[in-house]
Amino acid sequence: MKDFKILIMVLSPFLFGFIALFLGAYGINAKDVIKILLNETLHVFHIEDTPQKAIVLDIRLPRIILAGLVGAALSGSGVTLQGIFRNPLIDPFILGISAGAAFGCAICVGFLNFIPIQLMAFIFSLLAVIISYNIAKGQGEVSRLPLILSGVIVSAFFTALVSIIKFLVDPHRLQAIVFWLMGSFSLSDWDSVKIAGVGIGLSLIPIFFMRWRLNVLSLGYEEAKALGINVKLERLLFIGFSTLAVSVATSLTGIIGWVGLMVPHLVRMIIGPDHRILVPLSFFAGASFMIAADTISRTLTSFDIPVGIITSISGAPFFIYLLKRGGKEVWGR
Amino acid sequence: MVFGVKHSLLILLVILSIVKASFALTYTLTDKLGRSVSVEIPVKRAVVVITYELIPALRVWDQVVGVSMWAEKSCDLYRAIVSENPSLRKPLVGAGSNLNIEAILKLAPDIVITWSYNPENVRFLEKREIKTIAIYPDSLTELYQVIRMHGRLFGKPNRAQELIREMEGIFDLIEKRVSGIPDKMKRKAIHIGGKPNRVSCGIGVTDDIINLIGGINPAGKIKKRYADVPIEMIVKWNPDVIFIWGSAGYDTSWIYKNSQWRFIDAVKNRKVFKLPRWSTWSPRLAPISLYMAKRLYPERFKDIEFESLTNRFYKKLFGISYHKVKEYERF
Repeated sequence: MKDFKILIMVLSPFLFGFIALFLGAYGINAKDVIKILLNETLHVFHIEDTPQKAIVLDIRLPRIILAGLVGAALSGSGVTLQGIFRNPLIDPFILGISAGAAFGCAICVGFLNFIPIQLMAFIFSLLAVIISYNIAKGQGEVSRLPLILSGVIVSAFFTALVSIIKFLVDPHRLQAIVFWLMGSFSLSDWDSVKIAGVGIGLSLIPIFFMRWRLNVLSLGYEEAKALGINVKLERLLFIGFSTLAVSVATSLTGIIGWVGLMVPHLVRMIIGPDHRILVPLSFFAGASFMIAADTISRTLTSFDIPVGIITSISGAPFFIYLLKRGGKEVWGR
Repeated sequence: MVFGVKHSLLILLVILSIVKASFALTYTLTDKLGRSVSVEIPVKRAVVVITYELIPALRVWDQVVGVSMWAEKSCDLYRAIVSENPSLRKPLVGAGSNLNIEAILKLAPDIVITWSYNPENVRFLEKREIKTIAIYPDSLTELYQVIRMHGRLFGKPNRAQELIREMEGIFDLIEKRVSGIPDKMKRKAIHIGGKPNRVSCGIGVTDDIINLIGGINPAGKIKKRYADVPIEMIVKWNPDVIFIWGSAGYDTSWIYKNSQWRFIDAVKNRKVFKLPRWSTWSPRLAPISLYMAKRLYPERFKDIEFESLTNRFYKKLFGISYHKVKEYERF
């Protein structure tokens, strides 16, 4: 039964992605979509360069792949950080990534239009994490509580800077910042997929290969050390890879909340707390969830609902359910 | 005798002031937030948060005591005029989205004319007994109403009517040239905003203008002011012309280079245009419309010289040349 659940979770992003290829505002019939796909993969049919082909291959496909990658990044980072901080309420934005990225975006939209938003969001999200880490380091050993506190401080600081920019810019630019903060895949293209593929790949692959160490780290500092783990180094590596994944994702799509918090919990409820299996399944489940959420966001109405709204709407009730069910049972301790 | 004349004059002055006071008008209006506001007109100390382009147009500099910082930061027209004549520069009362209440209170205004974007600001001012009018023109008709309302508030109803006549002059010119276009031959145009997939929809001045210039706004079916739509929706609409909002952080080259847009007629035929950074809540809406009409139906406006017509319009309405204002367009 457990193997069947695992199989379903592994296959789900591919299944959701395939279904999502058929859905969209243009209304391409299923036969044509299949023809376009067969032409592209097996060269069975010859199809001219038509708007339909461009929509399936240049608009829908990169958007679905990007949604999958970003979902995997957020969920993978969430499960990693929850493991090393031994705290189920940690999400990937805890170290100030979202506030830093928002500041980068706000600067760009408000004043530096000539610099790509993604680049500035990435730079400032990384900067926020570096500052958080160094503040915590100033307290001596980088342990959980100072790091979380410094993340809160840095987030508050960058959020204040964003507020100043929002105050200064004109209404249309203000709108652009607000919409970016809500997160969206509406401008996904193959360039974004390439950036996400490299950035998220470089961060999630090491996490995948190091995942068993999370089981040891989640035992606590003393016990992990007694088992021969270099706790400081391992934590730093996990934080670094998680940050890279989330920074890349956030810089491309804006801030999408709840995925990194909710999906790992969901997977943990289904297959238990063993990180060897929990980590890769969180990648797949995050990808599935995000593809589904984005498909809803672009097909529910004639306009594109920011995907962050869909994830938040589904996230809040889920957490109420989780609270009712009881944290201990979910966390597996 | 002299004493008697002095007394007579004094009595006359008192009578005149009583008569004037008894004739002081109260103007009651319902604003965009549905609030009923009564104001003694003409107002003498107004704070103008968003419609600052109407200050030079109505020639009411001496009745305005403050403007939002957007006037100085985002409005080429205001900047050009106050740079030429620094004595006209007004104190700033915060951003249009977030007013500095203390700065407003310090100015002791008769009225604050703002927009309905931040109703909390309006309620806050109201609690402090500062009369506040919230506007948000969602159509050309509403824009005319807003101009007329400013005219009445400042005691310049005839000037307001004159502004509207000048605007209508340009609109009539456009309508005459596009009125004969059969529905089937009308070109589709969309207006995109801060993001390339943010389109101006069926509510707002922009939708009215696209219709007025003889175009069809495919996004007009969405009954919102703006909406982010999937790119494939724009491909489906296949507009003949795309107008980019003047303050957008991207330009025509971004659209031309992006392969996702390559099947759209406007892109294939190089009909993507970035608009000037002018307010559409101003008489300048008229020259913007002409600018758009010339690009939607160039063959029908070949003989119209946009620059000279706009220059005449600027001089007549704002008392400054178009070329002088243009120097302040980039900031």
